Amino acid sequence: MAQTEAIWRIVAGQELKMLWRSRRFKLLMLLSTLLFSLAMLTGWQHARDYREAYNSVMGRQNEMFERQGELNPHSATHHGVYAFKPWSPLSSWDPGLLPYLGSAVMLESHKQNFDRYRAAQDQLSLSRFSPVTLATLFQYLVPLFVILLAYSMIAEERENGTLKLLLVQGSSPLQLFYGKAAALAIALAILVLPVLGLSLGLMAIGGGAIPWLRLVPFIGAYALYWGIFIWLALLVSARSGSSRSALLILLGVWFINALIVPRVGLGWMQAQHPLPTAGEFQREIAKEQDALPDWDARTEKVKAALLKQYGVKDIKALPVNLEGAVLQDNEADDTRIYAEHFARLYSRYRRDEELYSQLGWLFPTVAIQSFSQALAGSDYQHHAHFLSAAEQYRFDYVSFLNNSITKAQGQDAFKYTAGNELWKQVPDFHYNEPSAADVLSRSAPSLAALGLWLLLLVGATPFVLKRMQVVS
Amino acid sequence: MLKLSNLTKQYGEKLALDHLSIEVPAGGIFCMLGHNGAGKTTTVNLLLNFVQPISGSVEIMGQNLHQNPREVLKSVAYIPELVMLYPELNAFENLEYFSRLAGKRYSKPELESHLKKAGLPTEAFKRPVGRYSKGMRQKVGIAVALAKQAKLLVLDEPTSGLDPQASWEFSQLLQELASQGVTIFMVTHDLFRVRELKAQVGILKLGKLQRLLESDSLSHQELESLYLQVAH
Amino acid sequence: MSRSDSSLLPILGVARFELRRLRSALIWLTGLLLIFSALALYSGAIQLRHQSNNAHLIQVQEQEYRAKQSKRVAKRVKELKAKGKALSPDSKTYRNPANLAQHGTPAILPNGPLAVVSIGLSPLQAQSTQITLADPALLESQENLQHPLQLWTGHFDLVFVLVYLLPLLLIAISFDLTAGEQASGNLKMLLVQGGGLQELILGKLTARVAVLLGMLSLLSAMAWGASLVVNQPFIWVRWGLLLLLSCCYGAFWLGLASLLNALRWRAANIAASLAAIWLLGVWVIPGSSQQALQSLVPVPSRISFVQSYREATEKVRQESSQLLGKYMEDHPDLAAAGADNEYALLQLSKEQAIAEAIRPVVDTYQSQLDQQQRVARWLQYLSPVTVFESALMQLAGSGPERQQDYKIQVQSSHDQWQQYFMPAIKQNQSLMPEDFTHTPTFDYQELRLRNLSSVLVPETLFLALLAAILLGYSLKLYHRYQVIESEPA
Repeated sequence: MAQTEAIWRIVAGQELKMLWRSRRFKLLMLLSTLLFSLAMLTGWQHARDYREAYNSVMGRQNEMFERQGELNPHSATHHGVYAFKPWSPLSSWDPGLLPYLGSAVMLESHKQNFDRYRAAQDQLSLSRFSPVTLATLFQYLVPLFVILLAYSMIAEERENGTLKLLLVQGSSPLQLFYGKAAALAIALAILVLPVLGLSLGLMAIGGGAIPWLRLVPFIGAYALYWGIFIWLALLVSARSGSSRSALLILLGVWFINALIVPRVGLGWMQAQHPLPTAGEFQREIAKEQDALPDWDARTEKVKAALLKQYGVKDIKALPVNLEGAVLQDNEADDTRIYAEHFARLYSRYRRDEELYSQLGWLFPTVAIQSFSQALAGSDYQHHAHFLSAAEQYRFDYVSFLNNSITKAQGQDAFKYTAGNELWKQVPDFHYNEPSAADVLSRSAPSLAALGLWLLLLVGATPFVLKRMQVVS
Repeated sequence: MLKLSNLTKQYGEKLALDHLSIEVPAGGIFCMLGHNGAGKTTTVNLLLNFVQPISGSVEIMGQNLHQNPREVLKSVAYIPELVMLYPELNAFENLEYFSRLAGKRYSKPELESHLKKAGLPTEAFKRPVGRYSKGMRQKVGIAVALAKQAKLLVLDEPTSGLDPQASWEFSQLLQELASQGVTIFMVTHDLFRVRELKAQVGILKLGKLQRLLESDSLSHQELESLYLQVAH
Repeated sequence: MSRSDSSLLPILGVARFELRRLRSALIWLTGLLLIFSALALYSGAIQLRHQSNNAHLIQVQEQEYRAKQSKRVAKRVKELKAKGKALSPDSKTYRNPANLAQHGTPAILPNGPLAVVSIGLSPLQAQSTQITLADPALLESQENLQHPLQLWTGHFDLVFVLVYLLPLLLIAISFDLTAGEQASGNLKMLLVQGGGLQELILGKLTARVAVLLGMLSLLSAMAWGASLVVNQPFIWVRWGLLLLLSCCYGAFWLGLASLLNALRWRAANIAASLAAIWLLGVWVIPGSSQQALQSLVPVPSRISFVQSYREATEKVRQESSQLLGKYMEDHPDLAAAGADNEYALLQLSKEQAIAEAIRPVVDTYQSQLDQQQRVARWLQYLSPVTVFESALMQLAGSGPERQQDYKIQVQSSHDQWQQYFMPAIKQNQSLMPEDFTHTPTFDYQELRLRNLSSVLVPETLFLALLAAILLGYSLKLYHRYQVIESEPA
């Protein structure tokens, strides 16, 4: 047994030695190091800038709101406030969908707005493939790095005849395989560990606690993902007729995973159930709003209810301001209509995201992308969580201000003004991300898909190698 | 020492080996002659457990190869027709790697002595093997076998592509190994070289052993005419 | 003279032989290309319909609104006339021209000239803007609904097939131009059989160029068919230019493969290198230069911009009591109109004050963006892939240029709109029913090819030159190519 262990170590050592000397490895290392440095620096810079802007804007907005002076409270709801999306620490590693999602929502009375200011709209048109971030490098570049190192590892030994020699010298195919896999894993670790260390350092310098509960599964999932590619590349190398065909097959696998499946898969889903157009969406809402009672009818309705509630006969005897109550009644109806339509649209987005992540059972790249974005807080689910919190806050603060009119009994609701004391009483918007446990339980299938892939490959290895051709 | 009994191998429809039986004593040399496609390489592949026979068995030092290939192959060394080795490594490094796989760790002087014994010139030790001639690479192959302290040496067309001088040196080396008790099994086209060795010669045709004779019992012409006659 | 005559035939002969050798690969690749192109055109058609449905609905909604308002006005005017009253409206009613002016008119950007071929940036771009009295630079752009996940993955359009997949198909048939034959010794035999190495290479390249042309014709037929199906005009001139660019781009990849073969690399190494170069071209170079550029020339944060805009608005609101007086001072002609239109005028003066207050912020923002774009225009030449893609998007009208042009046209339409309404607002004239059908409308004037030429010509020349250099250099290398192995046997 002791000797069995030694052999894969000898093979691993030998492979590393040869990798170390090969120009291919040096070139790939150099390129990867440059790209990782760029991704880390720009990711860190972006996170820093965003956080600074966010903090400053939050402060300025609060101050502006609290010092708006004498103003009708309902007018204040028309001026509105913005809910800005806070920065999630891991999203500088994987910005995911963030550039395509709005960074702010206008919160005003009578309607729910779309989120606005998508970073992608200001982006240059140089690159249409994918930005260079830690996540995209992990997802696309690292597998390619593995493929380019591994495709020839076994096939070339067969072509050169050294495979026969190795087997006669006492190594079994399995030990050879494990040795080479270990060498690849070590080569990868040499590339990735410094990157992880530095990124963690940058995150710590940037202030804020390191989200270990999200970070550990995040890194673990990537380790599984890379393991899949190491195993797959070596298996293909062991089974294919030549290193050339091994390379072509592996590049094909990479290409389908990285480029074809995401675009075609999602495009297909869209084609099956087209989204409504913006026009349709607005029109549906407008139709329902038109069907609501007009001001006079609503006033009658609210009046009747209030008279009954307070057991009085005349509005003058009411302890509350009727028009304030009407405003709030109207707000509740508007909120309901918008909430229904937005909920339908957003749940459609969420459902599509879930459906899409199911493709991860077939394509590991899809699985890692879904998982990585979920943990980094850059998927649609997180965004939907933010939007619903913002909408809840919108209704609360608009209600608070409308109710302040309702309390102003005996005043003209539209000429009544409040001052800075009232604005100071309006609660602030505080948004908390979903907990790591929630996110993990929701995205567990993606992690399971990765685990299953690796398990299947590892389990199949002895069988595949048993039928490996030694003679070319 | 080496005993093939009724070895049979089929590739699809084609019968590659047909009940082949050979026995080689310790320290003996066996040369297998035959045309391309006669089944020589198949025999080597079977001998080394690269492919499995349909029936028959291989016994090495009294042990059945198929029952415990890893154990049995510990005393076998192999030199393929084209010893490619790892072109980017030098002779030392190649030898060290292959020896360690065989469970042998040698010091530098020991490795050096194996290479020397195999006849590799000292000045070549530090050069990458990719720049060696075929003869030199074959010597590294011999060194690998020596370092493994193999009892059985299997060679596939060892002298094809070697110049007469290198070829002669190689035969001398084989003869010396045999005299030290190493059993040698080689397949070859090289009638001339076979004559120089004190060996058993088997002529193979369509997977069947046609003739078995002693190399020194015949002159070169006799061997050649016999070969042409039998193999065709 | 006679030499070139006699060498043409062998080239064609080699080409024909090569096509026969590539036959089974070609069947596969053509099948793949067909499937991918069909998918691409399908998703192009779907996106096109999504956009035109939206545009149509916006227009319908506008017409409905106008019809309704026009009817209300007609009724009111009739009543007033019957009573013999003055028509001048008070400033808050729907008869006040300021209200229609503030309601505005939709400025719709129609689908690009080759929209079915290229979705490009259009899902992220404004598709309509409501032209009102407010400065369009401050207005929120109106995009169609798009799936965020799809924006992230990107669309699978025909330009994607051309830019990303076509090179891979070409690499697949040409990475082994001579490397395999060199390794197997066939090359020696071929040369001994007569014919020079250069003729052999030219023949091999000719075969691959023929494949490229064949694939492009197939795509042309499909794209034309698709635009018939979705009832979109197919602009042949633009398509022709697109084909020309594609030929140069394809020749670039063939040249690269030929060069690596001429350097005597092994087939597997060539394939790996071409794949790596492809990745460099499509992702690494453009992606990292974009990232670096955005770090070096950062654009101020959008959310800071929003806040500055809000602060300007708030300041204007708090000062609004003084605004009207100042506005009146600036426009003495208004005093005559009386106080009825005070509200409308106040709105106007607010718009103007906000625009003035925010102008410096907008300008900084815009100038940073412009600077980025300027540098990006040069940086794109780092990768032929980006150059090709940018050229295709310009031809198809799915790139940033058309959006930029649209914004300029919206701005000028806004000026027109303002000039059209100002006299009526100042004089406090009532809107008449027919006014609702006579306001200026926005009609996007497509960017002419002539206007695009300043960008398209250098891009085409760049690609053509690059292809010529690579092919020429590889032929030169083949001229000195040694068939024998340089290493001792």
